[in-house]
Amino acid sequence: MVGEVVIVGGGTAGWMTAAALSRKLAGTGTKIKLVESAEIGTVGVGEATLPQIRDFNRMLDIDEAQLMARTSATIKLGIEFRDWGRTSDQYIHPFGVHGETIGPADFHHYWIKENATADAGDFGRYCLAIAAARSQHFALPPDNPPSPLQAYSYAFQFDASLYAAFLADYAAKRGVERIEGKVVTVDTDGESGFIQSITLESGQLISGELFIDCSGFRGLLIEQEMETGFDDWSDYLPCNRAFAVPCKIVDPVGPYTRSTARAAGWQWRIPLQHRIGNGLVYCNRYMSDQDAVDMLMASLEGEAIAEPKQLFFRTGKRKKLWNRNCVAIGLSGGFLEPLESTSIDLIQSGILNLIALFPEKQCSASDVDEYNRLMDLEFDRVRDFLMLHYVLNQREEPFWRDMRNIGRPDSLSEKIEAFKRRAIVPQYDHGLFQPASWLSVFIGQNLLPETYDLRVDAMSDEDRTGHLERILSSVESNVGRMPEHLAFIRKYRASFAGAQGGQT
Amino acid sequence: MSGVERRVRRIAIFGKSHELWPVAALLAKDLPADIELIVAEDGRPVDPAAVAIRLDDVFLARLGIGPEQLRMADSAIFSLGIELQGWQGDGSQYFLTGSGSLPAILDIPIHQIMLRAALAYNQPDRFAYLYQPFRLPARAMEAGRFGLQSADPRSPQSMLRPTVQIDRADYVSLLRNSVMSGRSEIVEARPTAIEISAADQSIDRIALDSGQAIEADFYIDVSGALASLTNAFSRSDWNSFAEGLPFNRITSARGAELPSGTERHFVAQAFKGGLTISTPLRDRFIEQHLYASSLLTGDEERKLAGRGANVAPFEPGYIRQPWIGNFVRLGSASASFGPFLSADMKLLQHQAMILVDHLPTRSNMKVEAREYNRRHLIAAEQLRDFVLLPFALNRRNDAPWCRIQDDGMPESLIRKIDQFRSRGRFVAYDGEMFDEQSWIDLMIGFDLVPDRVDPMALSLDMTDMARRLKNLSRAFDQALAAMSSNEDVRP
Repeated sequence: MVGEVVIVGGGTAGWMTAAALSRKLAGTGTKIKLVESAEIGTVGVGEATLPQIRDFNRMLDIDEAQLMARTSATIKLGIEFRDWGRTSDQYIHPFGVHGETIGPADFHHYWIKENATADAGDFGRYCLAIAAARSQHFALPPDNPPSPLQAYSYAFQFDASLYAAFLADYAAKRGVERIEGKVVTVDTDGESGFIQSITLESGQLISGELFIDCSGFRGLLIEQEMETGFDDWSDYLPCNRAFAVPCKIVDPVGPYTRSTARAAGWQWRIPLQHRIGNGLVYCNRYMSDQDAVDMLMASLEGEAIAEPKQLFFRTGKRKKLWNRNCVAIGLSGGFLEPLESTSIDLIQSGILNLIALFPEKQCSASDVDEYNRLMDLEFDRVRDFLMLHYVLNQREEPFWRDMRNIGRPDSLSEKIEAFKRRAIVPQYDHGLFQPASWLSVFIGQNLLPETYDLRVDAMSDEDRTGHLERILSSVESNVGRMPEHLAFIRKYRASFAGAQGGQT
Repeated sequence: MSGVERRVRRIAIFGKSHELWPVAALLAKDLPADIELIVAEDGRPVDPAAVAIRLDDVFLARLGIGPEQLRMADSAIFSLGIELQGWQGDGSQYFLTGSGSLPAILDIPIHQIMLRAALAYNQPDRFAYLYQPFRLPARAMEAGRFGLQSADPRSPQSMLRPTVQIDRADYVSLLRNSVMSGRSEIVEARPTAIEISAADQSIDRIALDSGQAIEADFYIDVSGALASLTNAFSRSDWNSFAEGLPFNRITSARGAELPSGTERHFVAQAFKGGLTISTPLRDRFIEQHLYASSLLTGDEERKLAGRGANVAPFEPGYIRQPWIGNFVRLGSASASFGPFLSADMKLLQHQAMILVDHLPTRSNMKVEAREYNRRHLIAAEQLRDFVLLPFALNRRNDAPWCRIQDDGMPESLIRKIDQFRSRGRFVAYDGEMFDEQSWIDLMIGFDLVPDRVDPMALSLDMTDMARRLKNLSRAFDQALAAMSSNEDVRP
C-alpha cells in the first residue's frame, strides 16, 4: 500500500485530510507530510457546517465540547432563508423532518391538503428543529427518539481557521509532519505521469507515492501540473465573487445560519461565539464590486471588526477529482457557493471516499474510477439542490428574473415538475440532501403542488386536522423543555466566550 | 385524456390471480372511498410455484400481515434462507441467507480482518473458512435450527432474517381474502379488445370475454394480457439479461410427497444444462426447473419435466418504460426474472409499493409515470444484479455454466465484483434491495478472495483482534445452541 502521503496545502481541507488519515492509517507505517506556507493565505471556506461534520469528529474521537471551545462554535439547527421566494418571505431549511407518519402517504401530502382547505399554518411549524431554532433553544437530540418528530440533528458554526488549527494539533500528535514552504516545481514520472516529488522554494525535495492537492482554487497539482480540466458550471450557478467581513455581536445569537437574498446574489450571516461572519455572494455581471461591498457593509448588524476581503471563484469541478496518483480535496477539486454550507461537507466526502478506496502505490484504475464516480454524484446532486433556490425565486430584479429562466439540468427540471404536479419529493441514498431538505425549499419558496397523494383522501378532514393539531402541540411542548441555545453552550462546558450584548 | 384534466376516479387492474392480488390488495387497502377499483381476474389455473418472502418485508408490513397470520396459512413453513447445491461443482453446498450486518470492530468489517489473517499466513483459500463462524444465519440453517429475528440489536439473533415459504396459490389466497373484505368490484373475465384514443394514445375502454366492458381512468396490467392486444405498447425497450441467466425453458410441478422433518428450505441445485429449484412446504413439495433446451436431449427434457408438468418459455429481462400514458405494466407484463430467489414475486411486490406511492390523481399522469419508471428501473436492475451474482461466480465446468463470464454481466454488477475482488469493498447503489451482508457473504462463499486487505485493516492489533473475534464467535455459538431445531418449530 501507499507508504508516503504528501498533502499540499494547509487550511481546512489540508488539515481535515491530515487528521483523518493520521487517525485511520495509524499503525500501518504510512508517513504523512503536509506542506503549507504561512505566506499563502487560506480562503477559510465554510464557517457553517452540516450535521455530517459530527460523524467526522466522531471518527476522529474528538470531544464536541472541547471542539466548540477551541473553535468558538455555536450550534446550528438549520439555515434561515430570507427573501428568496418573494421579498419578505422567510423559511428555515432544518436538520430535521417535518411532521410524522399519520397515514400511508408522507406527512407533507396531508399538510398540502389541509393547507388547501384551511389554515394549516406554516409548514415549518411542524418541525421541531425549526421551532427550536426560531425560539433560540437547543438540547442534544435523544439517542433513541420516541417519535420521528423528535428526531433531529445539529451542526456547528465555527471559525474554520480555528478548526484547521485544532486539527493541525490533532494531526501533529499523531505523527503528521508539517513542512513550511512554497512548492516551486513538481516532478512526474515520464511514463506513468504519476507525481514523484515536489520541490520547495528552499530547495527541499519531498517525494511521495500519493499526493493530495489541498492547494485551493489554483489546483497546484491537479490542474497546474496534471492539466485535469475543469467542468465549468457558471451557466448554472453564475455568482462568481464575494466579499466577506466579520462584525461584532449585537443581539443574542440563535442556533442557525442566515442567508438573505440581495439584488444580485445573497448574503450570509453566521454567528459564532465571539463574532458574526458575514459575506455577500454576487454575480459581477449584475452588480459592481463597489455596490456589493457597500451593500454588505450597510447591512451589518454590528460594527465591522476587519476590512472586507474579496474572493473570486468559478463554480464547477475538476473533470476528475482523482487523477493518476493525485487526489484533489477542497477548493482544488471544485467549488460550489456556500449557500447550503456544503464546502466542508464536500471536503469530508472527499476524505471518506479516499479512506474507503485508499490505494496501492499504483492507484488501480478501478479505485480511481470508483472515487470519481462517487464524487461526481455528490457534486451533481449538491449543484441541483443549490440551483433549486435560484430557479424558484419570484423576485423582480434582473438577476433574479434571469435565474428563474436559466438553463437547468434535466435532473433538476424533473424534480421541480414532479413536486409541482404531484408533491413527489426527490429521494436517494447517496447524497447530502434528503427529502426534508427539498421539501423545505420547495414549500419555503412557494412552490405548492397542484395535487397530492390520493391516499390522503382516505382520511377524514376531522382526523387529519386533529393529527396536525396534535403534532403542532407536540412540537411546542418539546421546544418548551429545551434550554436556551446560549445556556446550552455554557452548560455543555464549551466555554462560551462571547456575550449577548456585543462583547467580543 | 386530452383537453381539461380529469380527476382519476376509476382504476382497473387486469391479470392472473398470482400476480393480480399482491397489487390489488395493496391498492384496495389504501384507496379512498371515492376511487373505484375494478379487479378483472383471469381465473384460468396458473403453474404451481412456491415463493419465499422475508417476514420483515415492507410489503407485508404495509398490508398489516404478520408472522402469526403467515404461520397459519396453508402450506407455509418458515426458513432462514436458500441452499445452493452444485454451483461450485457437483457436491458443493452454500447457504444463502438474509442477514443483518455483522458488527464491525474498530470500524473495520470482520471480513477484512479475516482476510488479513488469511493473507498473513499466505492462505487465501482459507478466507471463506475463517469467515464462516460469523455467518450465524447460515450456520443455523446448516444445523437445522431456526429462530425469529430478535428485536434486541445486541443479540446475535438480531442478524436472523427468516422467510416464509409458501405455495404461491396459498399466498395469493391470503392476499385475496384481505381484498374481499373491502369494496372493490371483482370481475372474473379476460380482456379481448382494447380501444385506444387516437388523440393521445391513452386507453379508453377494455372489452372482456364476458361481454362486459370496462372504462377507467387508469389501467394496470400485471400479466401482459392487455399489452398483447395491441401493438401500441411494444416491448421495444426490453432489456434482456439472458447472457447471465442462460436458460430458455421453465417447468413447474407440485409434488404430493411430504417433506421430511429436516427438509425445510428452498434448494437451488445446479446441473448440466440447468437449475432445479425445489421447495418443501408443510404438506407438499414444489419443484421447478430452469434449463437451456439446446443442451438437453429430448429424453432428458421429458424426464426433467416429468408427467403433467407444464413447460413454458423463459426469457429473462425487463422493460424500461412500463408506464406509458394511462397504462402501466407490472409483474410478468414488465419483466421476467424467474423463480430463483422468488425474484418475480419480489419485483412484483416492490412494483406494487412504488405504484401505490405514485398513483395518478389526474388524467395527465406524465410525472407519476416518469417517477414510477425511474424507480422500477432501479428495482429491476438491483434485483437483476443480485440474481446474477452467483451465476457470475459459479465454478461449474459444464454448459451453460462454464460459459457465463463476468464480462457478460451488467456494468453495475461488474463494478461490485471488481471492487470486492480488488479490495473487499462493497459498492452500494441507490435503492439497494438486498442486505449488504448477503452480498458480502455470497461473494466470499463463492470463493471471491480479494487481492488485498483494506489498508485500514492493517492498522489493527491482531492479537487484540483474536480475543475480540473469539468472544464474538463464542456469542454466536451460544446463540446457535439456544435456537430451536426445525422440528420443534414446524407449524
